[in-house]
Amino acid sequence: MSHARIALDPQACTSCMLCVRECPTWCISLQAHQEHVGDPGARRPRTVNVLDAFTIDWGLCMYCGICVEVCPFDALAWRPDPVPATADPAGLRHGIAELR
Amino acid sequence: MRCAELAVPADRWRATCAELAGAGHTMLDLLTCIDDPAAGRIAVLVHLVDVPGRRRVLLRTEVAREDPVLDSIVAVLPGAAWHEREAHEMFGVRFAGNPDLRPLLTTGDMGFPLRRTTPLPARLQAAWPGTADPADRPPPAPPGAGAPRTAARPRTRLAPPGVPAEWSPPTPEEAGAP
Repeated sequence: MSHARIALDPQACTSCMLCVRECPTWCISLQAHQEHVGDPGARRPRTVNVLDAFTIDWGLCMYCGICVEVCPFDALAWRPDPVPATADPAGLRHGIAELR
Repeated sequence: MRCAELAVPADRWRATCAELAGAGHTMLDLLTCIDDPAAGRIAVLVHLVDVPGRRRVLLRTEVAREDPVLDSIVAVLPGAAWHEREAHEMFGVRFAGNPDLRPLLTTGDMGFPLRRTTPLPARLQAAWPGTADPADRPPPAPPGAGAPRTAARPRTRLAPPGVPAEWSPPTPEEAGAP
């Protein structure tokens, strides 16, 4: 298994923020909001986090893999294909679609 | 290759290096420092290798952080000159007897970059992404409910790991978009 970049499974991500807070280079950012699930008439409706945006800036990432290690739900995993070269730094900021 | 570890007082630094070099540890692999602000000490380490004898030793001493002065080992191991120059620049340790302690990279106006108390500009200019919290964006209150409860904040203090609390947070202008 080669450690060329990190993939995100947005279905597995619970927006717990652990990866964002553990990243030594601050290259991950995450936006999420909460929604009610289950019976809306319940006294205390259950809420879940819904992932809105997840970005890894490959220009800052040092490929240490700490985010992969801390993710409690295996939403982050190594993948073998490298990050493609880009003409400007903004192209190195990958969102949910590019990280799948 | 097993590595022996040895700690000596600062006044035995040069003599111990000379003894080790005389005993065959003639290859200087590394000379570096470890800053310990809590103890008020800076550790200086040198890693010496005896290549034919397949032995190595990690020699360590400590100097006071306030006035870090240590004998230079350039006379014993000339290859230490560059390492001492770098350690002087990055940690502020003065090596008595080293003829050339000019800075390699810095211009002298940013303190000692590898001391743990030196602010890292990148950490001050950027906003830490970890302060965002999904609980800050709760769902709309169901119809008929009373005033929305304020979102419960986590009890742990949200601070970026490895950034000393006394470092000033960026002002909104500094943290703003480029």
